[in-house]
Amino acid sequence: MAPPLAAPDVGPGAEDLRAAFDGFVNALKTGDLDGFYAAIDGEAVLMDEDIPFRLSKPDFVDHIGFHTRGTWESFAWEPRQLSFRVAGDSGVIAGYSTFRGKPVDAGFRARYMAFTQGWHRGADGWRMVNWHQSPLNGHILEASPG
Amino acid sequence: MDIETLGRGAAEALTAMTDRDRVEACLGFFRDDALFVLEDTPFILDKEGFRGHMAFHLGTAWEWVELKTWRPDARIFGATGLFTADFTLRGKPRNSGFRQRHGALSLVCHHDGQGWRGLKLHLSTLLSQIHEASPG
Repeated sequence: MAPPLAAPDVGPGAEDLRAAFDGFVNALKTGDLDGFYAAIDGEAVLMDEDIPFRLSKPDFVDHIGFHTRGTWESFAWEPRQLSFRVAGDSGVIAGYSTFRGKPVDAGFRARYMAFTQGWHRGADGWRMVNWHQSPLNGHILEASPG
Repeated sequence: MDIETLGRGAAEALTAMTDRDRVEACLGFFRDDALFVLEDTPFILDKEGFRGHMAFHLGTAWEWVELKTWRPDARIFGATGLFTADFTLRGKPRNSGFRQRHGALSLVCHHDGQGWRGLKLHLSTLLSQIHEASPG
């Protein structure tokens, strides 16, 4: 019987991309926002799960700044069922994730989503150039006309 | 390897995606190991899954359908290309009124020395970026 959560699908040559992604996730988990932001290229374009606009890196930093300004008691981003692909110095990741936590003055929240990322490997290693997150209800509700 | 060829290649692939006469050109733009998240499917698809999903849509489901992109943006990081846009998937389903679904898309490409090839495509509606975005 297959495990309930699939092991990461790491395509050929993607092991170091996996390591860069793990470092990025660990920086967020440990509250190392400097390390978290350092993994994101200055020209990246991001689509976050709770803003209907594409964001630049400064926009994204501003948005995370809102979330860290006393609005949450705790939160975490948990990635799951990951796939990694590398072609030359280009890499992509696709997976699911749960954004969960306890807002101040509200019950807990859990938002389930699909996400993809694009990464580029330069002289100083892998940097994320794109992060697209989309909660699954947007892929299900009203997906069909009948 | 420039922004113009990236933007043109991405736009042509996305236009061909919803054209039953040109969908093979769209599929050919993507590498065989490409990954896809589409606006009406809550699963990550491989290329064969993407092919099958588009075959469903381009069979008898629609009288006509098109993917209209707005405010496209292309940028290059070495041999990595990033194309993003707002989009409206619009058309006339058979036996139903017209449909418009508004969203954002991101397409990451790799230049293999011959041309740009798609590595991942992600389309999502804006619905969940707005609905229930806040707890209070």
